[in-house]
Amino acid sequence: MAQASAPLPRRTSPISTAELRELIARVDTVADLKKLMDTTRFRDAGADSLDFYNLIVAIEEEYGVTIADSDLGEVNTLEKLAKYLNERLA
Amino acid sequence: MHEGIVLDLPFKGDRDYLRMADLFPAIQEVAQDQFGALAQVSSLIVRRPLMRAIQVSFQPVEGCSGSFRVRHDGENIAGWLVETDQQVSRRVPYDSSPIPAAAVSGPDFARILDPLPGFSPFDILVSLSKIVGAQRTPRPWWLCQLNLDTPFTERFPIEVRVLHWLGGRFAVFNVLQADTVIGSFRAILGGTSI
Repeated sequence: MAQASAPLPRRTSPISTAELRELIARVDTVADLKKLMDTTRFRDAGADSLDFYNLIVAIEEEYGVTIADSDLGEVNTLEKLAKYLNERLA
Repeated sequence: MHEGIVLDLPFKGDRDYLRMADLFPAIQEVAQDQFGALAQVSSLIVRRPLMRAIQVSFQPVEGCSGSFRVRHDGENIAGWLVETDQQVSRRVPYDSSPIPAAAVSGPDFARILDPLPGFSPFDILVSLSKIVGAQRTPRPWWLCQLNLDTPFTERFPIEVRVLHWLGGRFAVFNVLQADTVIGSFRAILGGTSI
């Protein structure tokens, strides 16, 4: 359940994979995801479920977006995650 | 400076694994032995059920089973948990059923107002998390991450309140003591592997 809060200001530029990489750097992950390639799957980079869920929680809090349960399996790379977020924040 | 320290922990009840409630007080004790009485565990991550004796290390370890941080004197000291080849040789009786019986619970929260004889505050905290998790699904939740902004103490009431559900498989709970949020627990559904 997302925390109730004031709406975030509308973004004027799309979310980039570089921006997501910076966000990942702030999440305590077992895998070194700071140099993750845009198309590498998180799991292939060594991220376990805890890493992935922590990343998703951080993204939801940062951007005020709820990622649907059914979409969690799809956003498994930085590139797909950025595309997903930009479509919802457009 | 810091050699690895093997924790002498028993299995509790009929469990055949060590869990957050076993590890947190033991690591807290190690931290205070190493750094002084004011040292406090500020985070603990347990990435899988631990079936054998656990070694605490303050040097990075590849493929560790968990990790933690100790807050001391303005520093944030990292530590790692390593599962050794050593069997856990002891088992102690443990029945947590009085905790749910004494808890007050409602949608997405559970709390205990006063100390319960025979249970540490941390045992109570863990049981409260299980109660709240079971409201969503009765399948077992694995408590995999604890973050404490302020030290966990003996204060009551102790309360767990849902902050975030994700995918029906992951939960973030706020941890409250004396009606103040002191940190959060993260739990994952399942428990054999994360």
